[in-house]
Formats: sequence, C-alpha cells, structure tokens
Amino acid sequence: MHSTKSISEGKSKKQKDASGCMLVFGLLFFVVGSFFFWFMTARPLWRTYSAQSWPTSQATILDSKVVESDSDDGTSYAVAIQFSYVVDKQQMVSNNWSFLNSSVGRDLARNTVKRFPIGSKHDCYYNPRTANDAVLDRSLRRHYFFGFFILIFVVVGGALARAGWHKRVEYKKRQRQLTLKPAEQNDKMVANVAPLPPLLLANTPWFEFEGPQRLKPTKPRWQQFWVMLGFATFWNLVCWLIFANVFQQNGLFNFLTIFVLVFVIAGLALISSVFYSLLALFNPVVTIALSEGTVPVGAVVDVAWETSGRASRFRELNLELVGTEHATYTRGTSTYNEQNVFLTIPILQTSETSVMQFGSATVGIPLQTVPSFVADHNRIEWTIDVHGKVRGMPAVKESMRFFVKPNAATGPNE
Amino acid sequence: MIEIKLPKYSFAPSEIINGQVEWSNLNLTKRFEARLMWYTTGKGDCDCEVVDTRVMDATPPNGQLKFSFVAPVYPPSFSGKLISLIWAIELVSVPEGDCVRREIVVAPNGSEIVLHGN
Repeated sequence: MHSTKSISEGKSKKQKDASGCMLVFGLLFFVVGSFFFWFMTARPLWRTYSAQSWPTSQATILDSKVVESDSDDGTSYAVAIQFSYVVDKQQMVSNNWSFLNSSVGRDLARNTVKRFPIGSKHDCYYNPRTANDAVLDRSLRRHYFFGFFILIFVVVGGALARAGWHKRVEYKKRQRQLTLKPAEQNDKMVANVAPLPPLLLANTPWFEFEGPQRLKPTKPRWQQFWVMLGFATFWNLVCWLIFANVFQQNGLFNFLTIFVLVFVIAGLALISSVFYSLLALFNPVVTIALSEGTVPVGAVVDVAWETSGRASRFRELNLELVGTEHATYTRGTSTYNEQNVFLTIPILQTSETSVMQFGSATVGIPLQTVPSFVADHNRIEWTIDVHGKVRGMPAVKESMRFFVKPNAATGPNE
Repeated sequence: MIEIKLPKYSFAPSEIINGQVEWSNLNLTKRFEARLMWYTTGKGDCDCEVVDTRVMDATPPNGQLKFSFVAPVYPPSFSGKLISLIWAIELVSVPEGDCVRREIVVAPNGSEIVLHGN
C-alpha cells in the first residue's frame, strides 16, 4: 500500500483546466492570427485584385521620403508618399502609394522614393465608389504573401481551440455519465451484456455503434488528399517566395540560398506525394460490413466485404482484424503518438478476383483480451485493416474501426 | 496512520469488494473518502477516473470502518507494451488530505489481461 499524493484529485482537475486553457489560447491565436492575416495579406490581395479595374487619373507627387524607425530589433523602413489627383474636377490627396500596410526593406523603400520624386507626375488609380481612395502602384507585390506565415498561427490556434472544445465536451459528458441513475444506464445497454453496476459507465465508447454496421475508414482517401494538397501548397508557396527573395538578393552560390533550396526540394517531394494520394483516389474501394458493430469479448462476428471498381486490379487483397494500443505523451513542448499492435487475426488473404469482389467470413474475438478503451491520452482501438496491392498504382491501406465491449459471461455469477 | 485492509486483491466484474479502513493517532480527521478508481501508467500521459466514492465519518484518534464497492465491468485491468490500466482504492483523510492507495485487479476471472506486442 502506498502513502502518497492523490492521483484522482490532481488529475481530474488538471484535465479540466487543460481543456479550458487550450480553448482560450487556441481562440486567442485564431482570432489574433486571423486579424493580422486579414490586414497583412488577405485585404491587400483583395484590394490589389479590385484595383485592376479602377479608373486612372494623373497624380502629382507632393511629398516623397523614407521614414526610418529604430527599435530593439533594428531599423525598419517605411515609404511616405503624398500625391494629389483630380476626379470630376475635384482635387484629392492620398497617402497610399501601394496597398502595403507594413514596413518594407531598405532597398525597396529607397527605390520607391527614387521612382516617385517630389513634383513628378504618374498615373494613379482611384476607387470609383470612394474617389478619395487612390493608389500609385496596384501591382501584385510578393510582400503580401509573407502574411501566409501567419496562417500557421490561425491553423494551429483553430486546431487547439477545436481540441480544447472537444475535451471539454467529453469531460462534461463523462461527468454526466457518472451521475446517471442505474435505470437510465441499463436502457442504453444491449441485452447480451449483464446490467452494469451503478456509476460505472464512464468511458464506454460504443454506445452509438450497436447493431449491424458498415465501417468507415479512420482516414478517408479524399481527406488524405486534401490535407496533403493543402500542406504542399502552403509549404511550396512560402518556400518559393523566400527562395525567390533570397536568390534575388544573394545569387545561387550563397549559403542562405542553398539552405533555403533544401526546403524547396522538400516541397517538390511533397508535390509528388500529392500526386501519389491523387492516384490512390482512383483505386478500387473495399467496403466492410459487420453483423455487429460492437462485439463482446469472446464472441464471433460476421465480416462481409465488397469491392467497388474493378477488383481485378488488385494483385492481392488481405483483410485483418487488428487490436492496437495508442499512447499520446508530452516531452517538453512536443506531443508524440506511439502505437503498438497487440493482436492480428487474418480474415482473408487472396489473389482470386472472384473472392476479392465480394465474400464473407466469421472471426472470433479472443476471450482473454481487452475491450475498446478511449481516454484523453491512451486508447485501445480495434480495426479491420485492408491491405490491397494494386497493379501500377499506390497500395490500398485502410483501417476501419469497430468496437469490442466486455462480455457479461466473464462476471462472477455466470 | 491509515491502512486499507482487503481480504483479497483480485476481483471479477460485478463482484463485491469489501474493505476496511483502520486508523490510529489521527486527532484532526473528521471523515474519510474512499474512492474506487482506475489510472493508466506506461508510455502515454496518465489518465484517471474515479468511478465510485464512499464518505465515512471518522472518530478520533483511533478506529475502523467498513466499506464496499461493486467491481466494475469496464474497463478491465490490463497490461500492454505501451499502456497499463490499474484499478485502485484510494483513501483520503479530510481535512488533512493524507492519501493511501491500494492497487487491485478488476478483470474477468480476476486476472489481469496481458496484451502481447508484435
């Protein structure tokens, strides 16, 4: 027996607090990131696009200078240009030489001031709806795209807020389950499981998965494709912009250019992964159905499969029942996931087209094994895994989740 | 000193867990809270859940009290390569907050399920 600090008190409080913090920080990142992204990138891009159809007027430069600001991070440079122009015989004045809201590099600032000296005349473009909104340079500038970096904060913040909200909902759901009356609990149980003792239903993940089920892949193909496409687009956009900038300033044979080039090459590898996942979309689809989506430990279940698309494109098709431990842990500021397959039961291994097209088999869940289990950081997952080798195409690898529940026959009274 | 006494440490689902708490030289303790709980150990960060609680009034400075729980059907005690799930009875004295814990096994046939890795 241990004389120690209470696990239950510290842990349950910590889990609740963590979900709240995740939600707050996630929303903060998301809102602030979205705000900056809008002002630094989205708005200038939108205005640049709109300004392409704005009417032209002649502008006279009234003032043109580089404004330097010193701070702890060094000196920043901004362009301050004032110009006048005439719209419908009315003279207007504007300070917008471009749609850039932030400071620029020293060279760009100096070159711009040289380009627009005081007293010189240039074309300017004014908004036909609000004529006092005018700009000298309506070209697309690469500076606008640097704001895409901020999207990292928006995406991470959004994911954090979503995870925090999910954890909070789960926490409240669990608290509600703990306060259910026995009668309410028994209503939710299936007939072949003995009535559970009161207050012991927390963390039962299978409530909504009873009866015959058609299984869904844990990672759908289209989802993998879109995630890969989004990531590759973002990566390449950012890397190529940086590369173009660094290359223009330093040339190719420079340490910084070569360093950035490594990331550009990684981007090319990502593009090939996008094509790989695109090809995988056209593979035959194997649909799996179970006679019971929540199988008691020690029971048997009928597994049926059907291939849509040409099953003959498969060289070999394997189906397996798989039990996996999943652990999530934090080291420092990083979170890691690790998994271990503790049980594999072959269901089908065939290269015959007719069998691959459709069929069924019966498979048993061993008596001495663990039911599905889902907690915040640890889980036991049961899946039917599909492995198909396809001629000339990426292999099919899909996992489809089902649930294993405790068996009433393992209690003391049976 | 606080002690949890159990006649055995392995229980099948739905079995009654009868226990006894004994204490001595506790002058401030007003009550004890016995918690039936599980927690995880292993590679993953710790998860835990209190599934049932008994509150017992204490008489200072010495005494003993009986308590009982029903062994839950789910989740069973198991031990894998990455995760182990351990059931325990935790006893906390109020207001001091001193805690003692007795690990038990709650699983079919009263034996922990061992998961074999690949």
